[in-house]
Parts: sequence; C-alpha cells; structure tokens
Amino acid sequence: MKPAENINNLIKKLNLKASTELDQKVHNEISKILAESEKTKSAPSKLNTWRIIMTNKITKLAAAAVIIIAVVFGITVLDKSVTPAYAIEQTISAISSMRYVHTRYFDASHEDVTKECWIEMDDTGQLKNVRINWAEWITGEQIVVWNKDKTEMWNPKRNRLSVFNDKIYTARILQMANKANPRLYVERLHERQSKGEVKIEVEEPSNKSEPIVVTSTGLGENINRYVLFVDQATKLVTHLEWYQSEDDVYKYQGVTEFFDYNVPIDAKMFTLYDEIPTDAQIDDAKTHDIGLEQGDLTDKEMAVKVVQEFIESLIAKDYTRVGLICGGIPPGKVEKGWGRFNVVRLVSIGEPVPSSKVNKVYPKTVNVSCTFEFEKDGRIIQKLHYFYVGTVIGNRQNWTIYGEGRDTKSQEEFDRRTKKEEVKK
Amino acid sequence: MLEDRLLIWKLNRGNRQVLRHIYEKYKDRLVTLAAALLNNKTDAEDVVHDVFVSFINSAEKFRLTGSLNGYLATCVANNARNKNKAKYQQKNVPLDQAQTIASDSNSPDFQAIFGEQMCKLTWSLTELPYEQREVIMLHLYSRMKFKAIAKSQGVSINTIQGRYRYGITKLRTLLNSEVKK
Repeated sequence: MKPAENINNLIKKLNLKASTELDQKVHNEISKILAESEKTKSAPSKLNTWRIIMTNKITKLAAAAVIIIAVVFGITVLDKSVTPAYAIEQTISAISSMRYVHTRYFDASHEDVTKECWIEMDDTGQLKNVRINWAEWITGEQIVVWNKDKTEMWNPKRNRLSVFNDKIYTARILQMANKANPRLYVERLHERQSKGEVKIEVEEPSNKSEPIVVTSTGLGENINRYVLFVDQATKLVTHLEWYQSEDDVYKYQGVTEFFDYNVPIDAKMFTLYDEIPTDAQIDDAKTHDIGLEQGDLTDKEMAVKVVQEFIESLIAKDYTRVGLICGGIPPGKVEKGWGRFNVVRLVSIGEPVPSSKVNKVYPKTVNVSCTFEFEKDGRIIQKLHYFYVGTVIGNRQNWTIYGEGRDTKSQEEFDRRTKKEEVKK
Repeated sequence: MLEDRLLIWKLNRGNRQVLRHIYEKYKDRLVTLAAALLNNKTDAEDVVHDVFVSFINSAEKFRLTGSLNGYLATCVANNARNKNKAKYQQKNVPLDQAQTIASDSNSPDFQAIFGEQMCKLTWSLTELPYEQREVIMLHLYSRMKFKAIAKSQGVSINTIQGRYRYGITKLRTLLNSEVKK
C-alpha cells in the first residue's frame, strides 16, 4: 500500500496548462473592462475641445513655450522643493485624532476572522469602550465588552453572561485592545526606529491609488517583521501584517485590518444585555457570590479546601453549594451532571500542581487530583478525578473549580511556553 | 499571501490591470482543479473562463476575507459541480482521456519518473464519487482547510472529513490495483 503522503505529493504535482484560447478569451474580457473603466474616467466632450484647441498653430507654440518655462522653472527649484517622501510622523499625525476604529485580525492558521474588535477612545486618547468578538476555534465565540467600570463576558456555550470588574482581566483586555490600536503601533514603531531597534523600509508607489508599504524589521532580540499598508491619501494604516523569523525565514503569522476610522460606534455595541438569549444565566459579581473565600489559607491549602468541600457537598447532595464552588452553576444543572454519581466517600486529595493553563487571567491555577468513591447498582466504585482550581474573576479573594481533567502537560512544557511568551513580548 | 492582499488592495482601488496578474498567477492551477473535477479539459476551461468573467465583473466590490487561492478554487468547484449536474456524468473515462490531466507537465524528467503514476492517479480520481474527488482536490491540491470547504458547501465539517477519508482510502486501493485498460 502506498503511504498517504505519496498520494498528497502526486496530487500536488498535477499540472495542466491553460490553453492559449482561454488566455485570449479572459484577456479580452479584462480588456473590455479596462476600456469601460477608461470611458467612465474620461469626458469625451472635454477631449474633443482639447483636440480642437491643440490643432491650432498658435496654441501649439504657446503650449511649447509653457512647457519650456515649466521645465526651466522645475530645474531651478528642484533642489529647494523636492516632494516630501512619506514618514511615519505623517501617520502619527493623521491618526492622533482617532476616536473610533474597527479592526479584524486573521490568523495565518485559519481563513475566517480570528478576532474582531471595536474601540472607542475618549478625548485624551484613553480607551473608553472595547468590544472583542472571538472566533469559535479560540474561545467558542466568546464576546467581551469592557469599560473602566465593568466587563461583560458572554459565553454562548454555557449560555452565560458574567459581569465583573477585575483588575487582572482588565489588564488583559487592555493589552488586547492596544494590540488592535493602530495609533499605538505606529507610535511604538516610531519610538523603536529612533532607538535604532528596527530597520524601516518604505515603498511609496507613484500611483496614488496604491498603498505605501512600510516594512519594519527588528534588529535586536525581537527580530519579527511588521508590514504596514498606509493609504496614500489619508496616511492611515489599513493593514498590518506580521511575520515571525524562523530559521532565517520570515513566516507569515497574520494580518490585522483597520477600518471605519472615526466612524462613531453605536453604544449598543458596548453592552451585551440586549444581545443574549432571554434564558441566559447572568452572573454579576457585585450581586452574586461565587467560590469560597481564601481567608488566611495559603494558595495550596485553599485549592485543597475547594476540592474537599466540593466532594463533601456532593456527598451531602447540597447542589446549591456545589454550584457555588463550581463558578456559580445553577443547582439544577449541577444535579443533572454530578447527581448521577452517588458520591459516598472522599478517599484522598493529591498535592496541587501548577497548571499549564496558568495565564494572565488565571494566574494561580492549579491541577488537583482527588480520589472518591461512588455507589452504582449496589457496588462501590473508586474514581480518580482531576480539577482545575483557581481564583474567581471579579473577586480574587475567592477560589473556584472552573474545569475538570488531568493537566497532562509537564512542568517543563509549561516553563518552555512561559519563556517563549516572554521572548515574544 | 502578502502578494495577494496587495493585488486585491490595488484592485479595490480601481487598478484593473491586476486582474491580468491574478489570472496569470492562478490560471493553470484552476484549470487543473476543474479538469480533475470534470474529467474534461474543454469543460474545465469553460468553468475557469466563467469564474474569471464573474470575478472580473465583481472585482470592484470584491473583498478578500480569506485566501484568494481558496476563494477562486471554491468558485471553480461550485461551477464545476453545476456543470457536472447539468451534464451526463461520465463514470468511466477512457484512460487516454484521463491522461490529459497529467501529461502537460513541462519537465521531461518529471514525465519519465512520474508519468505512469500520474496517469494512474488521474484515472483513479475519475473513479471516485464526485463529492469525494472534490474534497480531495480542494484539500490537497488547492490547500483549503476542511472547515473552509465545509462552509463553502454548506455541510458539516464531519461530512467533509468523512468524504475525504473514504476518498483517500478508495484512491489508495485504486492506485495499488492495476490500471484499467
């Protein structure tokens, strides 16, 4: 049997040439379109008038004289008045009054939009409102809207809207929003250019309908490459592509599109209450307590306590408390899931281990193993289970279980990833 | 990718000359794709022609959300499917006709080394059910992701992956068997 890659290779090597007849037919179509667009651009009556004027001998002489004067004048003033070339400062100036922007990020690994972002800034240029819609493959089409007083996070898979005000989460959202902010990009680029940290190459096409292409290549440790496309008329950035250097080759990573500069965004875009289904669960951290309070316990002690109370509440069939420990899940839902296990005894709880899922939003996440017994058909069965335990977004004094499963990634893997992220930064 | 985005940028800004560049860049790949789907080069060229004419006419409003290659390949596949439905389905293509897909390669070495295998491959492709052939070509030849194929055809990703798996298995079996004379 031939290996599958042989089929792949063979298929990739299929190669038919388009016939000259096809070439001719398509090029004719293109010529037709070009001719039509030329027609719409030019005004025939003006052309005719121009031709009549230019056939006159006196006019011809006058035109020649004008051309000579223009050339002489052009040569004399050439040294003094060279058309200014594009400089980043022009974009910084054009972008400085930006209040609204809409962006879309496409990751190289997917064809659909990865992340869509709407940003509103105040008069001082500070972020006022942010909305981020993620693709299904990243966070299950999660939507987050943020302002300085509160964050609304919609999770369609859980049919749940979480409302909170959390410093750590805010920092994360602001970091993402700043990545989508073209002004910060160009300012940072300018700063790095003045420090000699990047090499900037500018291609400014003579055709004004084409974009200025600004390529920035890092010279220091951060050798990534960014390519900005700048509209010649407005000097605003329309696209930003980024490339990562791997083995001396710049690999395309993704592109951000910037559009609707200063087009006011409807205030409704920055609140999710009107968008979510009427039966959605709404958890407001201000009014709804989630998780268990840490008090004087250490992080490890607290993680163990959360798992212990979870199992004990299951034994007591106190599904309200189980729901509270599990991030605020309604008791009915808990009973549907965990109620089928008639948990009878907690056997042991393992030592909490740092989880590879630790990130800026869940900085203290640990993975805790637990062995318990449940009864089924008159038999007692022992089960080893793993939980992800961490602090509650919006109330970091409380701890909660927010996931199940064994964290199979080793500590080394976790360290490697953290180091890589630091290098990226 | 960068080049395509730049081309579309220019196109959106009214530079129609880039249409020639786009056509020259993708014509052979699209003709090959269509020929593999339709088992017929003349029909394939008709499909590619129609796709380009439609693309040219809507160029002004065109907005690239994914890859240009994927977009054009999807258009070709959709047109080929319609053409296939309209026409009498040729189930058993004579070997000499199937050969036309593989025989255009420029390199003589390539023909010497891969000639027989390529003939066998093109014949085997014609033996696959149309839907399986389509997924295999879009995924392996046009480098489209399963998700994008599923979206373009309005079916689930599982269906597309299933068609691909069945198709590859059958293709492998056919490639290991004797070529039909």
